[in-house]
Amino acid sequence: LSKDKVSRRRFVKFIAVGALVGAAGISGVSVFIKRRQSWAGQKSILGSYDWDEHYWGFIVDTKLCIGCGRCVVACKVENNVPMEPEFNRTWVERYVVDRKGEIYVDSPNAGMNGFEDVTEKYGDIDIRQSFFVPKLCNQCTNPPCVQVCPVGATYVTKDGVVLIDRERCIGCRYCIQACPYGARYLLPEEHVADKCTWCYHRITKGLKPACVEVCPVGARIFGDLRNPDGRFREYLRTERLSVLKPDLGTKPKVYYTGLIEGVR
Amino acid sequence: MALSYYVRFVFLLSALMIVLYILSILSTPISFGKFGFYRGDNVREWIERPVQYAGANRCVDCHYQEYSRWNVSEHFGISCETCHGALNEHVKNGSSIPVPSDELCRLCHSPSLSRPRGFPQINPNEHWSNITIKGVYTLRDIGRRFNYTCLTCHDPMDVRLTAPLIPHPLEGRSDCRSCHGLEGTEPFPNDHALRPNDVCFACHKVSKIPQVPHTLEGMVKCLLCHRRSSIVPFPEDHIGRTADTCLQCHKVRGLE
Repeated sequence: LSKDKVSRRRFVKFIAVGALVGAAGISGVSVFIKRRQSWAGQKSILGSYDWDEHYWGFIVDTKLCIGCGRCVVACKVENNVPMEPEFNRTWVERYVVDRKGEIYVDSPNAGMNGFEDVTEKYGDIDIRQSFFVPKLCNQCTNPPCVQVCPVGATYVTKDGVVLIDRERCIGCRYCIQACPYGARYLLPEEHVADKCTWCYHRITKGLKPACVEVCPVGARIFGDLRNPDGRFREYLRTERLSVLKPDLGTKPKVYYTGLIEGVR
Repeated sequence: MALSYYVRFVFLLSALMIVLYILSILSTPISFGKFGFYRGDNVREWIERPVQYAGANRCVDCHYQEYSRWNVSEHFGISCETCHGALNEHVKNGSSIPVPSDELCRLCHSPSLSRPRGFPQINPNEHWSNITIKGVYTLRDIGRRFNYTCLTCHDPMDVRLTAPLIPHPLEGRSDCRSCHGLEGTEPFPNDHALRPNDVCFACHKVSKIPQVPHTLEGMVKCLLCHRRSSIVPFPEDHIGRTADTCLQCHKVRGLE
């Protein structure tokens, strides 16, 4: 009979632990429910913008680009990107092809001060062809950068834009390594990853991205793949569009016209 | 006894799991995982960032004169902010904006093999060098001498040469300054004071005088048909002229 007796010490222990766990459980559940309730109207936090109505796309017509670099400057001003040439959300590359088909690429100051005539730098080369290729984040449908982020700091929005959460980013640079297009860089002050957002704060207000706004020749065309209109629609319908590094399966949403095989 | 240990282990483990679960809820931002594996609030944070480039549509509200010039120019379609920079601050509080310089023209129009075919490219060393004054100087030399910039001759809002046409025939005269000065007959603007006679014609072309499109058939009194209120009226500044001077300037087509 003595075996069935519960000692005082054990009884008190049992009650104490039980009360602790019970209280923690109840408070946890109540906190959980409270948070759920405060997030009842999920989409309403985006204001009047409805991201289910859009799926953004970007077209670059390299045949029009004159390499003035206004897009690079505009991007830096609009998005507070450091002015040093190693930090860029967008940049302009100059391709030079010689008679043998050899390809040279350069981008002095990311193109933000324009370009000297090609013969200044490639004077000793028998130039067959030269052209400019503006680059930016390709906002991939299958973004490798999002896949590798260990803390869920980068993600794809419902309207197809890859964004970075600066509060969550731990600056591990894994995404910078993963991006096959070199579109990401580390902000020197904040020590978090950054890249082109297609000016998400502008396109959600009905404005064009800053680079598209300032391009003097219309080489950058922005539009809605869900409801294409204007020049964007015209380009989708009539131009032969290609993407960079299609073999990687990243499915970029930045489409190019006028690329040659060697542009990567 | 063994069962008792087992029960205690399961009990402690479940307690630990509950505590960890609660901790994970507390340490995860509220909006995390609501849209996907990320903090939903971050989308709003991106949307709320401030805009710097206001867009050309905002400019026309005040600068309608510039807008109408730009509207018919070769530069039509190029946003105001391409050359003037981000203007949202200016729209808000009217802060001053930088005036573009030659450097900006060159970013687009300096000659380069990399630019697309047909894009207007100007080599400043060759620009105007094929026009010689008095057989010695080229217009380029004169431009250098007097520090001409692109903007001396070109209005960036309407890059076609927009200098006023010379409204009268030259009849061999080449010394504009014998009649035109800073004062007197049709004075030229102050900033033209240093420009030599020779460069006038680089910008100011002689206007073409309309020809008489019909045969005269003995009609010499033009004013019988052409009055201010008639069909094909003559311009304001022709008022007061008599019929016998018309044919001095207006030639009959095909007769020359």
